Amino acid sequence: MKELPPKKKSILVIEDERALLDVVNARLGKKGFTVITARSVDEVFNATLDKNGMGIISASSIQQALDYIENLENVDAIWLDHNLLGKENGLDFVKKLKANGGKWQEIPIFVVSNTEKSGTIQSYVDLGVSKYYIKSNHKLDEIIADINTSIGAPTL
Amino acid sequence: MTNESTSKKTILIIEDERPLVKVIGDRLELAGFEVLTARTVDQGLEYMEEVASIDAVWLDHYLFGEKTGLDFVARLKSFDSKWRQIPIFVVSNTASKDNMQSYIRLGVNKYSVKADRRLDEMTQEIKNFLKAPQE
Repeated sequence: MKELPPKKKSILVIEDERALLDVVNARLGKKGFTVITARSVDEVFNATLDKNGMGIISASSIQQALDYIENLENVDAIWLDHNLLGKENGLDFVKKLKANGGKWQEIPIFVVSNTEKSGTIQSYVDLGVSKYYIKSNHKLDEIIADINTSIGAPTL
Repeated sequence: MTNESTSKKTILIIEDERPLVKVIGDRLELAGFEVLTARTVDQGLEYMEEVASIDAVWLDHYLFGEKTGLDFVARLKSFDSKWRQIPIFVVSNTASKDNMQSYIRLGVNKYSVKADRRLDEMTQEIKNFLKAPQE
């Protein structure tokens, strides 16, 4: 890849399986994003975030993710799993995000899930997510390359 | 010095029936494991490759896609595999004698028939296995 984006982009990764979250973090980091690994909200806000500046923020529950969004102006895209910790799933998150006064209306959302129920996928598409990936149909590298292309492009 | 995150063991669950994945995952988490779930053999193999920290595998026989659990085990136990030592627990209802023999011959640690075993029991068994002294 020849051209570099003007500034480092940040992705909010919401995935409940920590092992996968770690890998996605590492992979996105390799792609040139600044990486922050978080095990809790406290960790992100009190320590790592201050030190390293914005990067990839990982969240394992919806409330955590919404807290980040409220507090962080620089999230360029969201990597979202459907099944999450807690009662709410990815759809609840997208609904909340889209209902949040329009601020996050345009943020690209990439759903990456094991779920392949057509009804669920349709609901995401109707809500305006950028893309829906079924985990077993795509290699991680493929998804990451795809996202990189999408959000690496200049927004005009 | 170890912290909480690194001391937790990670179990890769390869199972295509979603409600079951949920139940198994919840049980294993309750028992103190991190879980990672895959629905196909290829997805499972990708995670083996990508995730350095997988400590054990919970495997169903019939899976989404064309390959079965046997394909997965054959790959993990092949002579040049770096995953030969990773314990595999096959949990399946398809206890045909041939299948069972093949799994045992390939070197899985345990073959359980779903219907016969309570999840709690199997979870405890995996826990005991991983806790046992390695030396």
